[in-house]
Amino acid sequence: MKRLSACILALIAVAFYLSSCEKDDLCADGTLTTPSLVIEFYDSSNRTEPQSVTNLKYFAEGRIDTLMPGTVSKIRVPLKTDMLSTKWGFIYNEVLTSGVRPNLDYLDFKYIVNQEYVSRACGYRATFTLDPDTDANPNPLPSGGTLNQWIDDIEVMTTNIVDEFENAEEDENDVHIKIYF
Amino acid sequence: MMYISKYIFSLLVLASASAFAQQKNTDTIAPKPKVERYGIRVGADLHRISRSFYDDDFKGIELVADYRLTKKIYAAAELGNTKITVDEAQLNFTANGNYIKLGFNYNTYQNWLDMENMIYVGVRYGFSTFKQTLNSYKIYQNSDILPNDNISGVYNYFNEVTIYPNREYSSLTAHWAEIVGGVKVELLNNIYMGFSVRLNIKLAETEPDGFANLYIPGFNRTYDGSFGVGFNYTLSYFIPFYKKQEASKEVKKK
Repeated sequence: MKRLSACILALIAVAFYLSSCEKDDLCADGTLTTPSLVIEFYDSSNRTEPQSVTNLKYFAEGRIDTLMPGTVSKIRVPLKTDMLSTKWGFIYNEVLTSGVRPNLDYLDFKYIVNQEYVSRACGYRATFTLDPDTDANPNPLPSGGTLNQWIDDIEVMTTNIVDEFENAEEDENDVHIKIYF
Repeated sequence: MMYISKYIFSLLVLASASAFAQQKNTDTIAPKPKVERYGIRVGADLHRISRSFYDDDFKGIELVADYRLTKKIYAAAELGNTKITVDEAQLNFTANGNYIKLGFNYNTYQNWLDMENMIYVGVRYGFSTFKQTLNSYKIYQNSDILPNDNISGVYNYFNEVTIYPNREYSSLTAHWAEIVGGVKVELLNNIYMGFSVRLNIKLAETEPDGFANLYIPGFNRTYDGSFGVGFNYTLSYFIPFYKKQEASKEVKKK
C-alpha cells in the first residue's frame, strides 16, 4: 500500500514537473530563425583584403531607425519578410581634407521569401532566395544619392540566404555579399 | 499554477470523501464471507464538461467505463472528443478530434467488508484521429544586428509580420501509451467519484507537413516532442451484473 502511494505520488510529481517546465515556451537563443544578409566590405584596389567602413550608418528605406555599428567591415542586414524586395541605404563618411562628407548609396535587394516551421516557441521563420544577378537586371540594384556612388562593385557569394552565422564577425567564409569600395 | 491548484483541490475532496466513507464500518466484529460484486461502471469526466462552459477555447467530453474482470483487475476505457484553441506567443492553432484509450486498472486497495473503493495503477493504449488548423503565426525575426549593441532580447528591425493562413492539417493520427494512477470512491450507493493522473508517452504519429502536432486530443499538449500529461475527474454509475463469494482464508489453508 505504502509503496503504491509513493508510486502515485511520484507519478503526480513527474506530471507536475512536465506541465510546469517552460523549457519550450521561449524561443531559445541560437535557434536557427530568420537570417539577415551578411555583408562584408572589401578594398576595391586589393580585392582580397577586408576593409572597415568608418562610422558606417545604414537604414531601410521607409524606416526611421538608423543602425550605427561604428567602424566595421562586416554587418548584418535584415530583409522584409512580407515584401519581395528591401531597399537599404548605406552611409559612408568620406574623409576629405576639409572634413567628413557623408555619402549615401542605396542597394535594392530582390528575393523570394520561403517560410518554414521551427517550433512551438519560435513559430515560423523565413529564408530568402535572391533573384539572379544579371547584367540586365542587377541584384542588388545600386543607386546613388546626390554624390558619386562610393560602392564600386558588388559580388553575390550565395543566393540562398538560409543561415544566420553565429560568428559572422569572425568567420570570413560566412558572407552572402561582398561590397568593394 | 491553475492546474496545480486544481489537482490539489481534487485530491483534498477525494481524501475527505474516502475518510467519510470509511467511518461507518469501524465497529464491526463478526467477519462474514466477503461477497464481491462484478459489473460495469460508466461515467463522464466532470472537468472536461465544466471547462467546456467556462473556457471559450475548449469544447470537450470524455466518457469513461471499466469492467471488473477479477478481484483486482479491471478492463478500462475512455472515449472522448476535444476541440481546443491554443494561443502561443508565436502561433495560434485549433486542434479538433476524437480519441479512445483502452487498457487495465489494477486495484491495490484492500477494502474493508463490502466497500468497493479503489486506489489503482493502470496502463492504456491511446489512439486519436484529429486535425489541426493553423489560425495565425508570426515570422520569428531576431535581427540582433550590431556586434556591440546593448539590445537584449528579441529585436525586430522591421515590424513583426503576422500571417493568417487558416490552413488545415487533416487526417492526423497519433498512438501513445499511458501510465495511470488514480482513486475511485463510492460516494452514494453505486455512484463513484474518481480522479486519475496520466503520464503519456507518444509511440507514433502522422506529422503534418510544415507544422507539428502541438496538441493531440486525449494526449494533450506535447512536451519535448513525445511526452504528455493528463488527468480526469469522473462521476460514474456502477451497474452490477453478478456477485461472487470470495473463498475465505480458512478454505484456502485446507
